[in-house]
Amino acid sequence: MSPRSVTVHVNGVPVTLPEGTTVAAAIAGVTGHFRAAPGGAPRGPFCGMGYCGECRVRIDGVIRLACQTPVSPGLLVETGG
Amino acid sequence: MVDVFDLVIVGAGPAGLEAARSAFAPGRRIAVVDDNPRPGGQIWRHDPTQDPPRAFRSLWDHLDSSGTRFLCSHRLVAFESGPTLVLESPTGTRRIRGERLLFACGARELFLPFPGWTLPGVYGAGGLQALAKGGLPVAGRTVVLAGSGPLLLASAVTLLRHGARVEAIIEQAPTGEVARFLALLPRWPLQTLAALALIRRLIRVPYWRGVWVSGARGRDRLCEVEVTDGRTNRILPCEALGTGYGLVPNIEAPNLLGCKLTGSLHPAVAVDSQGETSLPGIYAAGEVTGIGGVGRARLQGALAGVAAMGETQRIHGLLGRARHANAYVGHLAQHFRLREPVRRLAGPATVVCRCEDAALGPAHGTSPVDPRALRLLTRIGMGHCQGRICLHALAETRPEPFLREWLARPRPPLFPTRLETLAGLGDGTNPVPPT
Ligand SMILES: Cc1cc2nc3c(=O)[nH]c(=O)nc-3n(C[C@H](O)[C@H](O)[C@H](O)COP(=O)(O)OP(=O)(O)OC[C@H]3O[C@@H](n4cnc5c(N)ncnc54)[C@H](O)[C@@H]3O)c2cc1C
Repeated sequence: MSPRSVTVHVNGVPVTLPEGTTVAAAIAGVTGHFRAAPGGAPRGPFCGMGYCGECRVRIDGVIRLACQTPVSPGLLVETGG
Repeated sequence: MVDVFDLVIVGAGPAGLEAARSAFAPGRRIAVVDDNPRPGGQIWRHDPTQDPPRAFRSLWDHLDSSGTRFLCSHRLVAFESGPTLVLESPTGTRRIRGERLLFACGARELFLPFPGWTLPGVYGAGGLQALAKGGLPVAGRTVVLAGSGPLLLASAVTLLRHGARVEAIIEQAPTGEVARFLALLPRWPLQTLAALALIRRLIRVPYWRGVWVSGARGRDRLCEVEVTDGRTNRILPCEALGTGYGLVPNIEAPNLLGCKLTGSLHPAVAVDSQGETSLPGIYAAGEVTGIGGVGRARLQGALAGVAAMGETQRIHGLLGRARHANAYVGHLAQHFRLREPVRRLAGPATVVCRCEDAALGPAHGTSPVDPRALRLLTRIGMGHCQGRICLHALAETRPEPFLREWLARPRPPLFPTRLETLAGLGDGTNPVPPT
């Protein structure tokens, strides 16, 4: 099976990956730093199933879970918040 | 507006999908709610690089043409009287109601904190599997899987398929327990076949028993883990660690509704032999009722689906098989029982609550401390995950009623929600603020 590819922007960097993958995958291709913990340390995705909140990022301006958000053409993703 | 269905199923994993199939009859209105973008739950999670598993495909072929309503990317966040389910999706809030309700909301991993477990590059064991299925790049990366239970093996197989180099699987249970687990496994033929299929694909991967990861190190990212048997330590360089110590049921939604729980360490939803909870017309099936794997989840789902629709003549063929599958819950729990040292890897300075970055600090080791006191002392349980991770970790080190006390006073919403959803709830409780 070869799914179609989709391009999204992570911190301004274009990333192309197959349809059906997640924003978490797109970010991981650019940086491991998804958000900053209250103490400032970098955090990345952890539970992979939508409840730990470590992969929370800004997607088209709204804070969402990267692991449960499928990529779609033109999404703008900002990390590190 | 509230859409009304004959049956609403929460969770589109094996249990929920089987329930939807068995409950189906022409003219019945059935809805399945799941917070993932696609149905499948944990084990059948969508992987765009692979053909869907055969079992999932055959179920899906039935359901897809059945008129069953699938509400994917919809998360149950609260109840209103009725009970009406308040669902949140990326585009808004909606309300649905079922004449009957079936919880098939599965389980999550049990995480035990250790120094370094918050470093990027440290994941849940099933979490890393799920992320890899979602496209997280693992090809050529060095991975270690550590913790306890068969999920480590399932995760290893997925990661190998995605091109990762799995350095080792690190199982805390001693060799004798793993051997006893395997010796009695043939009592459950389906589980035996599944185990053999995993083992066959893992012949080149070292499977160490009686050892655990006691620390993860790296500057801004994981670069090595420390593995120990309690006496000697050894360092394993790796780029990713998947760690998990088994599963705990996602009881939050049924608990909020008032369903009775069973078991005190990591409670499950109590059900009768047909899957009915303590509340009439409310059913539960799959891992939310106890950790017993996909075979049991499917059987329980099928059973609860027909029971919920009152088709008693179809129940009897399933009851005996379901009872046998239930015995596997105890078999798993007994042989992958957690050993004392793995529950006590965190020190006073180790972050326990990842959300609030809170170390146990002054409360470290001072058991018993009841959950409310702990919350005031440390902010534990007040962050994004609402205690789904840290409270279960703490329960492992505290006297047993710990979690039951916490769960006795559940408060909506079930997950952090948007302000407009909160405003609509208006039930006078004290909700967790959105983050
Ligand atoms: C991360 C992970 C990976 C796993 N991988 C494997 C594997 O490879 N092989 C294996 O044999 N077993 C695996 N398991 C064990 C697995 O849980 C069972 O084998 C099987 O998936 C259980 O089926 P289920 O239907 O009971 O629950 P699940 O498959 O967990 O399905 C429950 C569904 O309900 C959804 N849900 C929960 N709460 C809500 C809510 N409030 N609103 C909306 N939706 C909700 C969940 O997102 C999920 O999709 C895994 C478990 C986990 C946690």
